[in-house]
Amino acid sequence: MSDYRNNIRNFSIIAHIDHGKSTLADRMLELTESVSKREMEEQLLDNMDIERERGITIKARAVKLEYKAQDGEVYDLNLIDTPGHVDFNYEVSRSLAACEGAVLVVDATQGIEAQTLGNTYLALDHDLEICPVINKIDLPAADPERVSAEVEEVIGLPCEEAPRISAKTGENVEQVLEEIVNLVPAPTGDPDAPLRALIFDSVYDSYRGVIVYVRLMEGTIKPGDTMRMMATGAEFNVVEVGYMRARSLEPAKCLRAGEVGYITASIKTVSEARVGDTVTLATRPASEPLPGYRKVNPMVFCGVYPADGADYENLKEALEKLQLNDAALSFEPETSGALGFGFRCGFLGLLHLEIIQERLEREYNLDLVTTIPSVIYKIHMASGEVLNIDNPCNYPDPADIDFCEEPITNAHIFAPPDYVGPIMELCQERRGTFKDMQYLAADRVDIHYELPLNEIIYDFFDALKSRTRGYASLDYEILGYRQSELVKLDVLLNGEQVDALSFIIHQEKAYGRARKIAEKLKEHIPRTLFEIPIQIAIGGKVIARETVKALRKDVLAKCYGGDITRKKKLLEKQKEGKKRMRQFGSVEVPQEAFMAVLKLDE
Amino acid sequence: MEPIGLYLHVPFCASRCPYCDFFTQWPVGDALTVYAETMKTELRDTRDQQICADSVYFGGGTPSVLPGAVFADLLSTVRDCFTVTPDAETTVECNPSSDLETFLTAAVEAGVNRVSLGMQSAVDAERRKLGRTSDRKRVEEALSIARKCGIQNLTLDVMLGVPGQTLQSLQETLQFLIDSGVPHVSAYMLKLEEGTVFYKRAASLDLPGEDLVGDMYLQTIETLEAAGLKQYEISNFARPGFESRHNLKYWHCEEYLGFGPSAHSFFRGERFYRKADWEAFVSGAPVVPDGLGGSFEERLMLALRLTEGYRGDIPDELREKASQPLLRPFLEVGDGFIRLTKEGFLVSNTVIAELL
Repeated sequence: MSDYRNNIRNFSIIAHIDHGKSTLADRMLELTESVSKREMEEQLLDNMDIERERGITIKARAVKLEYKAQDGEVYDLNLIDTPGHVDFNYEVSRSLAACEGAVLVVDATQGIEAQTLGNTYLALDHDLEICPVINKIDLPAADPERVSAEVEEVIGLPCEEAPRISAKTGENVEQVLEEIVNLVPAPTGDPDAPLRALIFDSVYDSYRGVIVYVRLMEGTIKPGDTMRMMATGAEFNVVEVGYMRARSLEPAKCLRAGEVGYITASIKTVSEARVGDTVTLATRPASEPLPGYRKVNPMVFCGVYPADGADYENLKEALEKLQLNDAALSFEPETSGALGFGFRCGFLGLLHLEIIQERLEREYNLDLVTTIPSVIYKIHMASGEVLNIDNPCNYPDPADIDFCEEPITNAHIFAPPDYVGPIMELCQERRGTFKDMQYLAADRVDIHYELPLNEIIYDFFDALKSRTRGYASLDYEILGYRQSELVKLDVLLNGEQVDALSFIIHQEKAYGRARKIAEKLKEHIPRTLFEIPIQIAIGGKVIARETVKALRKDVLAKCYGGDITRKKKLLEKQKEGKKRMRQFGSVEVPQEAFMAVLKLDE
Repeated sequence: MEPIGLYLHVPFCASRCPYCDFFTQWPVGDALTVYAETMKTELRDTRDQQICADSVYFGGGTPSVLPGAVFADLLSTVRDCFTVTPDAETTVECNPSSDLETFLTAAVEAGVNRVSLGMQSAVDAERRKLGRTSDRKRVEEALSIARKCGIQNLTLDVMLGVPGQTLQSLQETLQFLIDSGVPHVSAYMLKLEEGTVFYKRAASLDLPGEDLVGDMYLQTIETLEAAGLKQYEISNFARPGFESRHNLKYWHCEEYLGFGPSAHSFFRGERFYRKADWEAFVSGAPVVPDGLGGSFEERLMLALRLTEGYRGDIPDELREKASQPLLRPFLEVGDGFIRLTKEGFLVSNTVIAELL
């Protein structure tokens, strides 16, 4: 009997955002008849609303495809989808570690972008066989020859034979499946060795508990076994194992080395089945876990408050539910003098933050106020103590501080050479340190900067996009901490400090930012019956000031044919509007004012 | 039963003003005939001689675009259907650019005793920007025509905060009002209504700022009062005895019946209205209920528009709200009354919303 492993191929698809990864996955599902065309929902793999709207994949998903290749054999192709954004780099690396090969999708109209390269290097780090594919050849602007030359030149991958496809129309997609069969190595690993299975994803299901997605490197697992998480030591009784099919889970007798599948074991939260952990068996444990596990730590923090205080419990429940599925999300209760009861939440990055915020608002119907995001600052006290501060409210008295450190990133920006000027200008403005610049091709430059993380989390993406008409792409990783001159800015309205608007900033930028904040607040705080001074201060010293003048005129117009109701409705609307505002002492601040302070560059 | 007010909406205009969102259309084809017949049907369907009215108000649109005979026929139908008191205030809104000689002769003959002229401004440049086709001279002519027809109870409409207006140009308009000798004036602040040309072009209109409009308002009150035109409502001024009986019904929360597209009614405790839609009007669509009227909040909200304010028992809760330091400069509260100050009128929305 031939080895079952010979007919397995485990692969990922990697690409820059919008280069057609999800569309290609859809076509593969169709071609292997995992899903009929009629059932085909656009981009089946991305099954969250927000993912579809943003055109990005947030959580990895996996699916087993059965493909009858030209050599007459039937192959199990395990497609492991990867998240396509820098915030989720760690998840990407775990998905890649579960594969032997990767399909690299490059847009024939755009060529190599920052994440094309970032993901390719990640794949090479995992010794994956890479199959380049040139996509979107149906578009009039497509130039597959130029783009394949770029791939050969920049990445060093032979591209002459690379399939030129249109995932949209389906043209030549079968060639990709053949490439996978022919180029990607079959998995190795001894099914009789002690079990070592890599967790590359886990999802919460309200009926079965957590469904753990694994790639078995060695050994075998079956229902009834007692499994053990090697990092946490937690043990569970295996209830079911099986394969992920396009539309459902397909139970199996066992999973063996080389295979990709799922395990259920009445696990209550995804934090007990962390991505990157190794599953082994309690009865015959492996001596070493698979390499590469780390607990993902949130990098960006902000306060999340219900707009209506009565929603506090609902917000708590919603966060708990989201956390079941998202081990990277952290939260703990926090109180603000201005905003009342809420939570300090930690996120992998700004995108992660925005996604969670959107899901809370959309799926849980919550009205939220979020504070300015912060990174973790290391504050070295004169006493020798080191404080990790992610909340400006906890910033100590400057007199007690010896020095401060802030997180720095290694950032690569890819763009056409025309935009080098504006990009460098932006990076300089954001306190970047220029490291290097490389021409990857005639029309593509890699600009390498070290940038403070707190500069990236303030609308850096938006600024980059607007200055390069959307042509630039960004990839970054955390480099470490570096000493920095930090100060805390406080906002005072009508003499009262608004704790929720305080934030930590580099000294150099304090004045400029203070001015802008004062202006934005003036613009967004509606005039009311009295004058409101806006002051921005460092310690006790006011460095910027604006005034919202007292309301002068607010009269209902002519009564239209006795239409009293229209007047009543206008007044009711005015009262409703007041409800959405936050009371700070005697001043009411609409939610938009918070948002405006967040996005100062607009 | 207390006498009520009757309102008849005339949904026609010879031209559309760029700031107006009232329901109007062009009087083309047989629209005038259809209008008159439908109005008469509405009136007859409501016919009740038990209902007594001491005010009849023709608003628009532009009632003065109606042929005199059509208008007279309508007013006589009103008298057939309801008991109109002999001294009833019978007002018709007129545009100075209409053929007023013919129209007013017929209207007065039919019983009109009060005329409201939409002047908006005495400054021709401002009038043009407001889409008014007639000039100042035409307004003067209209006034003398009305007087010649025997109308002394005249009111002029002006607008504050219109494009290009300054305190000086406002003074010119106010002086015109005083010199004309009319016993009643309405002065409304321009509000940009959604869907109007002004709303879309707001940025390019050269509108005076909020503070300037506030100054204009206070100047208007001061100038008119000095000339004997006493403010009795946020936007209305009159020599004693010439306050508009019809409009006071709205602010006193008294009852009225409305006819014609978009007309509103408050009758036997209920509010209801007719749709602002020509097809619905012509096909005799039923009135749309709009809830109960006459609650304390409603009476308070309406009465606060009057200089005399709200009269009656002041609940403790209201007294307490009114006495917060924030509101104190804008309100006067006494034994059995609460009213807005002149500064309070300017921010009446905010103040009333705080009180309710």
